[in-house]
Amino acid sequence: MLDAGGEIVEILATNSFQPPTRRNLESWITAFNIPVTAVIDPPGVGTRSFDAYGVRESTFVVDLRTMVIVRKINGSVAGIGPSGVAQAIPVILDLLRAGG
Amino acid sequence: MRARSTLPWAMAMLLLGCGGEGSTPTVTDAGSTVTDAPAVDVATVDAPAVDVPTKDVAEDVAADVMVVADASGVGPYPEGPYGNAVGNVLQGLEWEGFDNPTGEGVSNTRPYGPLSMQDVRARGRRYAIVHVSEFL
Repeated sequence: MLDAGGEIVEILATNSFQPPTRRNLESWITAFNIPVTAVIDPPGVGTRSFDAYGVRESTFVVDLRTMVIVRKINGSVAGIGPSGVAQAIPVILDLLRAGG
Repeated sequence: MRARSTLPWAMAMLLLGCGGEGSTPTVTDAGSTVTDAPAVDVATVDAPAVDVPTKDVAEDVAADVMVVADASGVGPYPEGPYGNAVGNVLQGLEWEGFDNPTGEGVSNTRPYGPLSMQDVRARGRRYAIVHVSEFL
């Protein structure tokens, strides 16, 4: 998907509803062997990403030219079924193949 | 403390399988060749007038430059209002973390630093998945 022209940004938005730390981010990446860009809010801004983008498992497919959200997938907060990312990958691949 | 996410192993394998620096386009030499030309006494040759299309060339070059500029510069971040629903403009934020746009290796083996959504846009890719996770 990355070679096809896509991008993935994983945002660790909260840690028990508090701003996460770098150590939280590192542990989270290690726990799931995450191989894509993974970030947290910088210190001092609270849970800005959570406030702007929404709750865990909110997954957006975004047109990077316009930043318009073309698809939003609300994954299960209970961890049931495929993740939001797993559902979004076929969507973005279709968009990339269509050249849209 | 327990990390909780539904990010599947399959995603990691899928991404690792298709990432790589090799996809980066490179500019190659045009491959022009030089051959030995016969010696010519330029003083004795009546050179025909040559129409040098300087204006056209200049326009072609300008057009090429514009194409390059369009491909590498995405312009300023789109203005709001911002939202998180389909059809809304997603707010541009600044973060810190591990940038791994080519999917090479586990991301926390890469340098830690600042990253913004505008940085992601500037790579010139077409679409992105932005995924919000939580550490419980």
